[in-house]
Amino acid sequence: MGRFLSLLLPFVVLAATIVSAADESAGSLRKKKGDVLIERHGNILKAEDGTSVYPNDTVSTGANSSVGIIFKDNSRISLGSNSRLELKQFVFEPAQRQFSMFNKLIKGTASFISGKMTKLSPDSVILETPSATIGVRGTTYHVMVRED
Amino acid sequence: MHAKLYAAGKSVHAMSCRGIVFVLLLLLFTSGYATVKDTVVLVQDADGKVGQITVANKGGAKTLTVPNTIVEVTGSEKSPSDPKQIDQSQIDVLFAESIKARPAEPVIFLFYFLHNSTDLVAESKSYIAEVISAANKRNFMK
Repeated sequence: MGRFLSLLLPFVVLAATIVSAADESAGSLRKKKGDVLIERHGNILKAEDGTSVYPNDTVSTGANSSVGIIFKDNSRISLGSNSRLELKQFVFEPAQRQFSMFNKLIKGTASFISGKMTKLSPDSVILETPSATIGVRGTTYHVMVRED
Repeated sequence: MHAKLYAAGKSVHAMSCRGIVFVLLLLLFTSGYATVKDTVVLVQDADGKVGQITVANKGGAKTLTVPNTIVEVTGSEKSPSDPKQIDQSQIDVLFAESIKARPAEPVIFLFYFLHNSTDLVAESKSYIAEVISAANKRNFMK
């Protein structure tokens, strides 16, 4: 029984780490203009300046709307109108050397300014679109994704 | 009268032929170009530095290292286009909304405390007014 528990313990710790990483906010919203919504666990929330965003959230903007997201590593992504961004994963734990920033722009326009994550772990920062993957090494760029 | 009508009919017929030829030429011209799905543009950082981005999919990968260069993607299995230059004015138009929505660059203040104390060192105390001023400028404390 003791041996069974000792085998189980690492998995419990791992599961707890994953849950706590998902519970921590990835960043928060700034410069909200017009209609900006957050989809979280099947619920749709109205976004405001200062609203926290979490991994697995989807941020979307309506017509004549825009919003900026500032992440905990000081990376910044801003969205133009009629855009949709899925925040897939965000892990920024410099002490444990754990880094991951993975987002997906489904449609619309986005401007990206890299933060500390690309300096500490360049391969960990990825933006995906339905047609391609963008890897970043410390820089600023813009993306436009057109719907089919 | 009959001759006039015949001439008018001939003219209409010639115009419609020209229209069909125009449409066919347009279709022929545009059919060679797939619809652009993604447009990715590398630009200079605020401090003047330029990094690099790699745009990749099943069709291949392209790396951008020069500011104001653009890559276009037409499908997930088609290689991204070769990088080409784009005017700053075009970038400003294409991405006007997302550029305007950029959050301001974060400002970092470091506070130091006296050893074994909750009292700030004199230099750090002087930062407090600066912090409040910076926060007010950003409407952070509204």
